[in-house]
Amino acid sequence: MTSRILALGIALAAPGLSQQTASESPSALKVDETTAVGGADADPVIAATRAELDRAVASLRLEGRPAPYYAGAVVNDYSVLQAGATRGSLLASSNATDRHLQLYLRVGTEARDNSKLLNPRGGAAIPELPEDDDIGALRRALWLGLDETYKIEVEDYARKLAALARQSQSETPDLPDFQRPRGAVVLQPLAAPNSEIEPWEKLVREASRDLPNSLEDSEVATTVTRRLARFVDSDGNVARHTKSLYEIVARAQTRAGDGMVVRDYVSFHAARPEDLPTPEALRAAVRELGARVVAAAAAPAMPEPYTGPVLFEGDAAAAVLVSLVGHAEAPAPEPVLEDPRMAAGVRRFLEPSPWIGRVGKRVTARFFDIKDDPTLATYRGQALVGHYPIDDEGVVPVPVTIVERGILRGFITTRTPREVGAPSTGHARALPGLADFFGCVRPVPGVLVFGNADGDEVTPEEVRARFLETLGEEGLSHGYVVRRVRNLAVDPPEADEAATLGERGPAAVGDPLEVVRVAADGSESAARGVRFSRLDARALRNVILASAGETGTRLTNLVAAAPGVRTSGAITTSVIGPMAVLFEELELVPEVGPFERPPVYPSPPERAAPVTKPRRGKSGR
Amino acid sequence: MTNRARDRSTAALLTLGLLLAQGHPAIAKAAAKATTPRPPSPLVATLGAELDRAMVALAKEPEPPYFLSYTVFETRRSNISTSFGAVTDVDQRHNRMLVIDLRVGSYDLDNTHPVRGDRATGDGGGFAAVTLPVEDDAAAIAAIAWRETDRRYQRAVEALSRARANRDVKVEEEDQSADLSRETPVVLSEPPLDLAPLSESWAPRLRALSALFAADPLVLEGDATIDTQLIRRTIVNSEGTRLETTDTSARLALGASTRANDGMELPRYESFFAFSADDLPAQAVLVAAAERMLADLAALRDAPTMDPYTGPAILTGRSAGVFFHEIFGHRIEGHRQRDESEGQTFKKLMGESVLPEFLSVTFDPTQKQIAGSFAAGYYRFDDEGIAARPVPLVENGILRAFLMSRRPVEGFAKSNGHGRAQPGLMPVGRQSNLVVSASKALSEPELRARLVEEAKAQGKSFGLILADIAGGFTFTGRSTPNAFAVQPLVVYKVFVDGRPDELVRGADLIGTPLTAFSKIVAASDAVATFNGVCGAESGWVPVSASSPSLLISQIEVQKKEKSPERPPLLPAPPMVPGSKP
Repeated sequence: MTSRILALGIALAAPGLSQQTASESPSALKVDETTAVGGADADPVIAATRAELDRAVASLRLEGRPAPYYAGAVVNDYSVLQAGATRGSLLASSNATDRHLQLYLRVGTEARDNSKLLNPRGGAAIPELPEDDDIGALRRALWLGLDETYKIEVEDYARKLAALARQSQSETPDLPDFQRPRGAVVLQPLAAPNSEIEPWEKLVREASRDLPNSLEDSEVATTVTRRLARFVDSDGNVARHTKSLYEIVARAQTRAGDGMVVRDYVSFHAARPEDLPTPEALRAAVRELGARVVAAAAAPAMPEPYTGPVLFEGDAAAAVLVSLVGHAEAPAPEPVLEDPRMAAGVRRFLEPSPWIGRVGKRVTARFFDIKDDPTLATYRGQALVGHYPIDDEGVVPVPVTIVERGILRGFITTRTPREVGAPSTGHARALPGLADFFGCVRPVPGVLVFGNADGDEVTPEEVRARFLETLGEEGLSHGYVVRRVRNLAVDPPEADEAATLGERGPAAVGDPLEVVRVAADGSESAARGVRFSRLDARALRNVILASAGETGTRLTNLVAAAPGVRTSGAITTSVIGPMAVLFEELELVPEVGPFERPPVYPSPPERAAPVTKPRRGKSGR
Repeated sequence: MTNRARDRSTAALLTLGLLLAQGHPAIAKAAAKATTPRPPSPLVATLGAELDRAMVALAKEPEPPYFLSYTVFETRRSNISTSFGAVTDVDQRHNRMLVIDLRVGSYDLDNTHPVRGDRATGDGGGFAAVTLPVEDDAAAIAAIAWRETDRRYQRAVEALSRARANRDVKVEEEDQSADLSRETPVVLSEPPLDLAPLSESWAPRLRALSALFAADPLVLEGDATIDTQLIRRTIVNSEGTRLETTDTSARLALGASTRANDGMELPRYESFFAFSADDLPAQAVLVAAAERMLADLAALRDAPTMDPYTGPAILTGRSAGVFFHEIFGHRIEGHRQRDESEGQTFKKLMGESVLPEFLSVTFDPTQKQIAGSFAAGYYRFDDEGIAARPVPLVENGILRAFLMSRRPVEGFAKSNGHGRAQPGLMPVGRQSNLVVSASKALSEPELRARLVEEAKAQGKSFGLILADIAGGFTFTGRSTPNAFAVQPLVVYKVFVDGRPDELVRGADLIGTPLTAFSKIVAASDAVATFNGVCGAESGWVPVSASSPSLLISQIEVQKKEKSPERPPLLPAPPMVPGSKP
């Protein structure tokens, strides 16, 4: 499980730091950044990046080939503390820093440029940037990176034109490839570096002690990520802001008598340490996790497929909504393919939003209003991890109405337009390693807000009562309540699982972790080995009821798999939404084997030896 | 180097498989380490108790284990990387890996027995490593050992059934040796050491070194890195071995590259090895090395390219060491002699002449220094807990032995302390410190004169001196030609008419093993050591190769692969003095 500590990797979040300076509108006139920004030129990273971007646009030329018309760069400074422990003992800990660069260079014109071409060569290389703020060394790395990127993009541009000339035009002919809002300037002060790792080591060590030895695997891990993001482009947009994410994940896994793996986890995500559970509350949640896994392993396996009403409660309600809506509201740009035979593979990997082409049509139950509003920084005193002051294309985000009374009104977008004349909504969020799929940044949800269009106050208890009523109306002896859903961004699939995920619907919907079978009289019994059959955003049309209002709404901060990407790329999203969601009809199926045998010999006795003085590994300079 | 370029080169190395990376000798003094007997540590006690519990519990199963071994690698690593005068990465790691070797069946036939006709050979691929806590918490460690032992056991039983069936349905095996040798257990505990954090002075020293490369605007990569490592290895097995060892290493590497106008990438590497960072060379020595690299790169950029050539050549000491490592060393690794997919160049040549009479080859992991250089292939016990010992492989040209792990081969029933692996992989016979020695040696000027004579006798206008190399690779299997390639970095033409030597670029040395050995005609008295890491089926292990310069009467050179990329379009940005932190 330790590999997972490392695999948690780098997730991004937004603490509620205030914006120092920001233009009123993304389309404001270009400002004189040296005076407006004040501190920008004093920032060696911004100064070095701007110097090389400007030099690239002014001078990078290949005879007979188009010049770059736009250059942009995101420089992320990560400071990441990680600590993981099992059975009261530290597995690993680290305190590391990293500087990561993403370059965007566009040749041709805004109407038609090199972006969106998917070819077997992939994108340009990402040069390694020095972590020292040494302008000369930074410029040297940027110079070589831009040089290589330019040569690749010039070739891509020619190849894209050739591919388009050969293929029938599927895209809107007048739809430009890029839009250039200018004058966004957000400059936050530099934040303090990450704190000491020792308290985090203590936290996970103590919390992990409460999981029983008889589990096959158990771990409590924490990751504290501080991301200092700098955005600079050749149009004069500039941003510097800091986001933090505090993440604690406890996992437990065992095997039922028939060999079926039973796994579960609890996770906490916060933008500020004070929003995390107290150590006592964490230990209680971990103990509960251990008890739940042991109980689930003893529960009977789901006997047969089920079709009927399914109630999502608690964590599962937010998880299923963000999976379905997050995927649907953020369509990826349509790539231009050099080889049309790649189309099926691309669709499998980047599953298209089921809402494409449905603006103005009903896509959810009629009582749903859905917004995506990254400008919200707090909710009931808690900071939102999905908040950010400016996106990774230098655009200040705006609230977007996604669904109104069940009718689709729009999508979140980036600078790669989906419609002629539609500006970016400021939802471009670069994912390290995933951003340069087609030379453009993907739209990613920020803060999803679910409301009841009629303003009704609906409590979770009312939703549950309605669930039981529906069972009766359908003449069913029992139904299922899903309390927790596996989030693949928190608990990524093992290698042998990844292959089968594609058969079961969109990327981000993981399998149920905690399911109870509820008889028509309301009595509950644990269920094991329950899987979703096909489940995507179309299911939102058959939501019967969702809790709403003061008593029916809550905040969930989470990391989610990137929309449309099956297994990798975590992003922070906040959901302000219902605590209970009732679907009229979903299909659940039993997990099928073959399973490995349970252990041949018994686990060693529970804790005996005292814990010795800890040794730790930590870095810094 | 860009991330992508690094990925590409890593992938290439793994594909090539058998390879010795670049490295250089260190010039420093050795410090002998005591191996005083000590009482077993809490980790040994915990693992021993859990191992005994497993053996007792599983003895009741229909197919009980006959051998169980727990090896824990506790690694502490500290690393600083710089490029053109700025720090690019600082990293410190500390982790513990548990590797379990569980065998069912018997010493003669067990679950690791190769399954012929299958791509995966036996259960060796199941040597999974799992992470252990870095704290000596008995309950936590025992719980993880239990879970993994149980998993390994279930897989081992299945693998044994497959191995038995395979043996019954296929033709008789050429080599019917046992699967595990019987060895005497070892009980020893070396004192634990702590890896001292890299001193504050290293970052400025490395910045200063890599900043030197910025002097040439056409140098596209200019790196200086240091990597120190401490591995505390604990081996506990059901035969009674209780062994704890501590190994340290420090490597400082300089790397720079440029690009010729025709797109050819021209790299230069210098690396320095010692067992402690304090024993690495003084800054002045490192600065001189970086300046030499810069001068070489400038000269290489303008040097003419080499056309395909056959004729005589001198491989200078370190090049000759790598040549032997690739062409000879990998072919005398014991496990290859029983693998029916291997070429087995030397299997039937035991006791016969395989090299010229004036050459001998020894593998000696007990040497910490060779010819004044630290030797990276030094260890006291191999990864199966077998004591290291010098192994004379070739005496006066006659083949005497193979490099043996606990996997016996025909005629060699015991290990000779060369079972090595990267944590998590199954140990096989691997190289340690390779030492080539010559009973007849010429001085370096005499060897050069012999080169000119050879060239004249063959009617050539020049011979070659391969002065430095990047590394090499070889194929030892039957399904591919048994060829090798060595990639020289610095090659000179030595003309027979006395003209000054000419530096050339773009030459790769290629050939086949038996032919190449038959053409070695002379050696010098100047021995040099190459330190590096070697990759093969059991992963990466540190090795060294020491050799005198060798004159080979006929080598073949082929054109080096060339990049289609142009040099940068814009000039390098100015290096800004005073912008450093």
